[in-house]
Amino acid sequence: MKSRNRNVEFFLLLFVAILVVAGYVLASLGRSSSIPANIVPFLVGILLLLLLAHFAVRKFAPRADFSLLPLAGLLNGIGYFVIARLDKDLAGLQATWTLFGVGAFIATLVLIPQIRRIEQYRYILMTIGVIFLIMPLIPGFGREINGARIWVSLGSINFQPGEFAKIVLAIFFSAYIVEKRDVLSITGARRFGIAVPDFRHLGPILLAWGVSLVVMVAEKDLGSSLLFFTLFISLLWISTGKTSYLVMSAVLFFGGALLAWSQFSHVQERVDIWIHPFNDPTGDGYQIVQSSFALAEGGLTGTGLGVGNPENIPAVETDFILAAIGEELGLIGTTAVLILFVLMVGSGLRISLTSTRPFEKLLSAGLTTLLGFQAFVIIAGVVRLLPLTGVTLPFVSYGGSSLLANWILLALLLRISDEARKGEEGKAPTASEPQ
Amino acid sequence: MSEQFLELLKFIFLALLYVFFIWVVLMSFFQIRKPKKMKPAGHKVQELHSQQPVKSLLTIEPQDAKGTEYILEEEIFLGRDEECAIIIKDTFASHRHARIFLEENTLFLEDLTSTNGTFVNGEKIEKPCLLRQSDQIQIGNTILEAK
Repeated sequence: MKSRNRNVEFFLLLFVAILVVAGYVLASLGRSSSIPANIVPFLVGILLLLLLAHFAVRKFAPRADFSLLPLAGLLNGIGYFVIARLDKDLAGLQATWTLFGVGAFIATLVLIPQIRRIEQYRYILMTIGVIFLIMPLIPGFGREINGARIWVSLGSINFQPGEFAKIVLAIFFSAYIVEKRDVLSITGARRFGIAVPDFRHLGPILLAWGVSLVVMVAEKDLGSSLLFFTLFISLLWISTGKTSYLVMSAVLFFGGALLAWSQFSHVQERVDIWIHPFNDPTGDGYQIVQSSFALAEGGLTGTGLGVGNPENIPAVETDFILAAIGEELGLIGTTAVLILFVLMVGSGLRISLTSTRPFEKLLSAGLTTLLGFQAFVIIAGVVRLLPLTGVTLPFVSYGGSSLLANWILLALLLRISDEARKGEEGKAPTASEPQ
Repeated sequence: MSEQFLELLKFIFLALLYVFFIWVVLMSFFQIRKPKKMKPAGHKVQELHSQQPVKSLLTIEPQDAKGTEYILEEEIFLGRDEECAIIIKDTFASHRHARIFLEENTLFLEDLTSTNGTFVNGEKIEKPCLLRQSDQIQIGNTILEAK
């Protein structure tokens, strides 16, 4: 069973390489009617990267789920050839980031042979997470780019610590909730017909959440703030099964959203652009209007790779990369991206279901929530289902921090998956580890 | 390069993407089905036939509570908390220590990640385990026997 999983993964990865190279060639054909000169090194590079990751999994997590690596690889590849078609210089950088991403993926698999080892460092991880979140606010250290203060400059390197804070805090939340699950699920008094848990035990989580929220408002990063909130609530709900948490959080969320809308001008701006983008089509609404045009131009099957004009959309390589895909591959192409994320979320939840230890169960569900919800938030922003909140489309968008963080997230999921299977296979009648 | 040819290539590319999805879904489907087959369903049925089903728990230890009997229901909790159906007044017991639940007509005992663990016949349990006649469940210093 374990080698069967890996063999399926191997062939899926070969398929991914073919698809990515095909997309790359098509984009070049569409743009300049020529087959790219570097086609052979490109193919070799992709195969090398994918197989490197594959053999690392084979060696360090042999029982892990087979689908996640090919799915992530394909998303990364689609992102790459769309970026390559938009901007050659960024594509070079993105290739480097992908290399680092796969490196981080392998390093995570090697450095964390057992997921329970990180469970005990929960408070250190919480501290690291909070430091990551606050870093961009430190004067002289943090930088504001495109209206969001989420960047940190270290020498010549710029990065977004928030991307990593997400994963670290997901680990902390999971470990903490598991530790306190007893008290969290036993409710104290019933107030207003809703069972309210004892707030003493929620303290550290509320603190972490509050800090993240305050920082997000100060950093004007609405997307990440929404992401943290969802992560926090879904973990609480999954671990306790209490619907009252969902009700409370919905109330909290709408209250918070209304408050933010009435208090902060940048939130009001976002909402106005969302509802009436055509009030100012050449100014504030330009980006979303161009994105809508691009999606309309694409229609059902798109203009063809390299044939459209997605470069008119500001930030098309990062937040709006889905609009570029929509213009050139149409509704069928954007649906393909959605399906990729849905399949990844499905695999993630399956890992959570097969895990036996509560920490692994929660963490895998949390990481899956991060991945799926981030994709949802930005896709919903691009198609104007929700107000635009600038987060990256995981694995697809241009960006080093985002790619690196998501590859690490993927490695953690595979690690948990490997352990879950290990437990399943070693299931003797009186099973389990030595005392 | 003619436009029609490019258009054709685009369709082939999109089709290939979906072939990839179908492949992943099919493989996932086989994987989900597999554990079901592997589950020793017959084994469980046998066990049920050969034995009287467990109906209650009898307290063996501590001495002062000896003989107290608890009738098992579809789902009951064991622990120190007063909301638990079987309250275990034991410093080594967690608030919600363990759970006994009915699935496919069989009673299972599950440890709810208690601090000090739940033992069946002297062995610590890590995952839900079948509850059989005369199994001895130990939580802290409390011992209950399945009847």
